[in-house]
Amino acid sequence: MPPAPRRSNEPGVPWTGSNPTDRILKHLAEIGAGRCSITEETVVREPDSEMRQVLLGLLVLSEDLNYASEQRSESETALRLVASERERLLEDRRRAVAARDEFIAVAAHELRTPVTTLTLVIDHLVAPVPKPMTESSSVFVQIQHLLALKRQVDRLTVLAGEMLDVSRITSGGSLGLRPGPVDLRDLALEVISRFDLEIQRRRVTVVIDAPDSVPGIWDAARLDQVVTNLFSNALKYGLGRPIEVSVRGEPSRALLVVRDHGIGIPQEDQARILGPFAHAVAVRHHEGLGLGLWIAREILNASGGRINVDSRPGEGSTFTVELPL
Amino acid sequence: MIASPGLPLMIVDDDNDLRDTLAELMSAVGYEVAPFDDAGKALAALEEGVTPFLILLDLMMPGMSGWEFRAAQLENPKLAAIPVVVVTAATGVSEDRRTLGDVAIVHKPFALDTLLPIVVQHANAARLRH
Repeated sequence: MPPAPRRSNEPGVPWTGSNPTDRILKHLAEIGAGRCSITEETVVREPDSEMRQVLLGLLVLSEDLNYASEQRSESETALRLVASERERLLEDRRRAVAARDEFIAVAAHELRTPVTTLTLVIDHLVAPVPKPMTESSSVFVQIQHLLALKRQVDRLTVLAGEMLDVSRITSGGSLGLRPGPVDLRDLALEVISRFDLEIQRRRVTVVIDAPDSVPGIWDAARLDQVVTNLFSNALKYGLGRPIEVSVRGEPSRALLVVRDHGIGIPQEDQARILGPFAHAVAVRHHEGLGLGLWIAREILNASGGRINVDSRPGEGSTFTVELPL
Repeated sequence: MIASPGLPLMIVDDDNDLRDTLAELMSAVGYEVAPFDDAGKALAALEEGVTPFLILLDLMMPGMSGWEFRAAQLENPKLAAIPVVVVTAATGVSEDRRTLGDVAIVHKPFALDTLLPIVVQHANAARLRH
């Protein structure tokens, strides 16, 4: 509370307002409205010393109020930023949880199909279906059944491996690379030879351009995983058209290129397919978890290398793997 | 008692191993089978006059999905009455099943003991009709 203003009766004092109380109330009203009608000059010019004290007090009060109000507005801005950042993080989290749920659904789907085949073949082996067929007991048919079982077990093994890799990568753990001497050319040729049956079945021409051996120090099993993934994708999405694979050594790097001429990848999806849970959104109808390329990218990153994709829908895709030498 | 109704069992599934295994088992049981890896091709076969006593239909397939196949089948009065058993690994199908119409749903993984009685029942019903 400002001290009660005193009405001065002294002659010659230049009161600028009506009476001191009114002047103080007017200044207070101005201050209350966020303005200040008092300046340092007003204070200095005030002849009445008590009134000068009051005006000075009001000026300080007004400055404090201004300062507090600025502080409040800054805090409000900061709070708004925090709130929108929090909203963004929540949204990211919601999206991540949704992607993970979708991934679990896709993983469950992918696991159930080979398990169904396993169950049926085993049921049949344990107790052959009612009508005995002469050929169903032949060694040839039995071997076919065992091969079918083996394929399902292989599929489940790959799926389990991918899921394990996902949890290793997303938990920030290492992929546990074990580098050793590898020839990238021999490795690529071996991977491709493993697809011989599939290549014949699809009648695909595979052109290999790998004139020289390309020795380096990498994790052979992990590189095998990368090349297997790229080559099986080329078969899967290559529409039966020729696939070209080239392996080259340059002074400081090794390059492996897998090119198909199949369905290709739209521009907007090219970054996404190298990320996690790629299938979850668009291409869930294709077999697999949609994690192969992401895992490949993580393996290459951990090896000091990288992977690039160049693709046009309808014209095919080219995946280029670069490894340090 | 297993007896062929004189009509084929249509199997529509894009998974080669599962389709081949089902086809082999069902033909060992004594049914004529018409396996398709592509719902579009299966639908075309129906339109061309293939008349199965039952369709075993996968849902998640590239190209035409099982849902789309079923919708097209229901739209065609000549095909709408062919019974369908949906064989799926998808979760949450029960919520979507209204769009599938009147179908039985068998969830993967299933044992032969689960599927076979359903197929036999449909085969017997078809035999009585003919």
